[in-house]
Amino acid sequence: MSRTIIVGGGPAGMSAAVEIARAGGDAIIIDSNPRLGGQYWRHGPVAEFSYDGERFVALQAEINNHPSIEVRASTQVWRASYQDGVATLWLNDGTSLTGETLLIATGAYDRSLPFPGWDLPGSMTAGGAQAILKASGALLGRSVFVAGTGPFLLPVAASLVEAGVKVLGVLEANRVNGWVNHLGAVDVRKMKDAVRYFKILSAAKVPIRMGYAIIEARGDGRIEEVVIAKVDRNFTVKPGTVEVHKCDAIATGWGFTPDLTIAHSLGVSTDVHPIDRSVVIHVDAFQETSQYGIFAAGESTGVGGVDLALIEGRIAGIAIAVQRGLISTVEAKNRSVGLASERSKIRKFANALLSVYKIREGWRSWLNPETILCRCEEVTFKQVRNVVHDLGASDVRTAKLLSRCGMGMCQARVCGRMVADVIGAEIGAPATDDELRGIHNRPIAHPISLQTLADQGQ
Amino acid sequence: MKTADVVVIGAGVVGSSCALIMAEAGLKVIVVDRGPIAGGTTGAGEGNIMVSDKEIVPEIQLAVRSRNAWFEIADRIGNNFELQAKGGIALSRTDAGMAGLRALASHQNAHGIETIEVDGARLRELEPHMNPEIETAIHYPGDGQCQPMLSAAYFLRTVRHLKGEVWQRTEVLGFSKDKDGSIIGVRTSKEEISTRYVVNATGTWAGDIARLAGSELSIMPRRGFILVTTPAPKLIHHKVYDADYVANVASDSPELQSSAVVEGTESGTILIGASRERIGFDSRINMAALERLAKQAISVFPVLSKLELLRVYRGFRPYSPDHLPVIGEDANVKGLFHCAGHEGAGIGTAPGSGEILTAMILGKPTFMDATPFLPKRFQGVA
Repeated sequence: MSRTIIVGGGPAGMSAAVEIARAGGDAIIIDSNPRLGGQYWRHGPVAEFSYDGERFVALQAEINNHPSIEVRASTQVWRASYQDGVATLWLNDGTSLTGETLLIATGAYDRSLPFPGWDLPGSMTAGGAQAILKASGALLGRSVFVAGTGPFLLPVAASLVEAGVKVLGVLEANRVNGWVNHLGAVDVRKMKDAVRYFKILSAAKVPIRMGYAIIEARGDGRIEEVVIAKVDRNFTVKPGTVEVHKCDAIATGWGFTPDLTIAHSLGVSTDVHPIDRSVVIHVDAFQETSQYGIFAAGESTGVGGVDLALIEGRIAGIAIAVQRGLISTVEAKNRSVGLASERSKIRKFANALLSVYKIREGWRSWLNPETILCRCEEVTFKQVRNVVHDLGASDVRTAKLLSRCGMGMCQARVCGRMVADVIGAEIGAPATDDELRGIHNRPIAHPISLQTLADQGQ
Repeated sequence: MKTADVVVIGAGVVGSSCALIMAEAGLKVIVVDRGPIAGGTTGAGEGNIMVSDKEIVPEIQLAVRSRNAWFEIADRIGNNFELQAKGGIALSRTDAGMAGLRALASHQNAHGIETIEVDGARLRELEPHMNPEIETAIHYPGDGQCQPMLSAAYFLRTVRHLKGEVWQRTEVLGFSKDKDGSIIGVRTSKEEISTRYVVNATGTWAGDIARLAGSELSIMPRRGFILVTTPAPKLIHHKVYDADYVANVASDSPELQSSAVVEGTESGTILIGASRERIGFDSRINMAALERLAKQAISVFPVLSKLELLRVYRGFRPYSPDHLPVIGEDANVKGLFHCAGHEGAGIGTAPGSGEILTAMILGKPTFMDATPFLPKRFQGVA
């Protein structure tokens, strides 16, 4: 019971584990991936990174060297609960874990926007494209467009170039001139990263086009060409700017959605982020949630990138050590020097990025009636409009249940937020904070074998 | 001030059935719900249209008429709600259990329910994936299934087309009465509606509306979980359940009860119901209930061991002290009609209940003797 359970072995979970172990505590990291590192440091059987690998290698070495840290990889949490001060996680191997201290470090996943043809083979999320590259080195196509919004498009495009893919263009829907200078003012590392990506992209003669978006993908059975266009500040297509290009794959990224599934099951309070309206875990200065003993760090408290995740993980780890009586508050202060101010500095910057790379409402004008919104259940825009305007669905949940939008295998991880926005627009009232929270309500966090479930009772 | 012939409180399947049948009878109907369409128990049910689990004669009569009414409605307004006459299979693996099923079947048969005892070979034809150890069962061709939320939504769509209105997110605040105590209006958070007739179709919450009107009604919640699997090609063709299900419904024990009721849906998911717990409005998940349902379902269909659980529904089924629905005029408040307490059978018996209420309001004969359903049986009035 004294062992801290860490859900998620990405940067936040790893740095927290190390702090707990340094203070003499025990921790167990649960992660669905076969290896530590999370999305950011995803890698194949060999830990090779083209950049920023040193920090991962150092963290992993320290975790390996601490016998008090157990790593349970390739393990999925399918259900979580918190009752009377004890958290319980049910795992897909049929076992369960209980603990009085738990860190939610579940990260974030790609945010998607639909457009005609986005469901064709050859279309993937920016994060998905990078994950495939990192995990297996496989190529997604020979000629690829990278599109969407956000600073993440650049490293994705750069790693595609490095893998030998012909990147036909990086299309950034927002107009973000001079953001690199902005970066440098805050973070030298980020500045260096950005310069590196630009170098790779310009050496490969990859055009970076600001204010452009992919508004349609076409092909017979898989992507053969894309329609791109210049969009205005609201993401509405500017007349007369449409171009058609041949390509065989696209990687689109529209920022990230924090993964709040486990947090929701544990009953922690959440906030709706004032800038992008994503649902984030509410934490105090020590990264503790509204539930005693439940902490959170990294993207699940608000998308902010690897540096913020690492710092939040450290702060959480130190705070957990204090709560478990492993170190004094004085000792905790010594270990935390500079962390809080660094956290607020990066958070501020992260919020500035969120404002710059916001998703603007005009994207909905790219949809046509037959555009699929929910890929799992193949629900079209027209069907969603129908349940609102013909059947009288007047809220997100009812529209979902009547149309089956978001009821499939991914449990609305891909489409939940975007569908909430579409439904809100159709109803004429934006999704409420509680409706946005409801997207993360998945009592069954991941599908679990019925046999495994049946065997639990024995 | 708005005027309506009838105000139906509750936009679930029971309220929308009442509203549909009343609107089709030419009444001006306004449906009022504090939440969205089908936001309560209707949105958390399997969509059972069952005749096979009914034992008491009035319940059988209600279920048989309702089952036929479902298909008539589909003929009238179009089957947009996945209505299927899929049939049910009731089984037991004990001699005593089968003897009980046979006795029930012959009783049901005498009251108009088609029942066919099938042997192992026939059972395998009906359900190729059923556990081969199960050698006999009763086949009920009359059992059906629908998608309950879509049903309510399409019923209400028709109500709107018949000049009725549906007021979502509208709270009922109180009732206006004349000097004799008869209802003359409904005060809502939107505006007051002048009406002589109110239908209380608020299911588990029906007691609150009765109290608001100055009467009382004992309707309690019974929690049920339903497991939903990941989509699969068609594996299960009927509504398949074991005999304990019937026994459980009539039981008064508050602790967990469950028995597998397994069926496929049009979307490919398989539903496994239904546990029963009388523990009030506690929405937490009971792991024991999930485990037991999974185990029971696999014992009937071993192929299910390979599927995955995707979602869990939980719903609160409304039940009355004698487990029969409450249909009819309140003994204390003239003009207030209840239509609630259908327990796990509310989807199936909604149309028949709506027909009874419509006939009562119009002063016409009901298709069956509805005395056993009248609220006065709990309201101390002879």
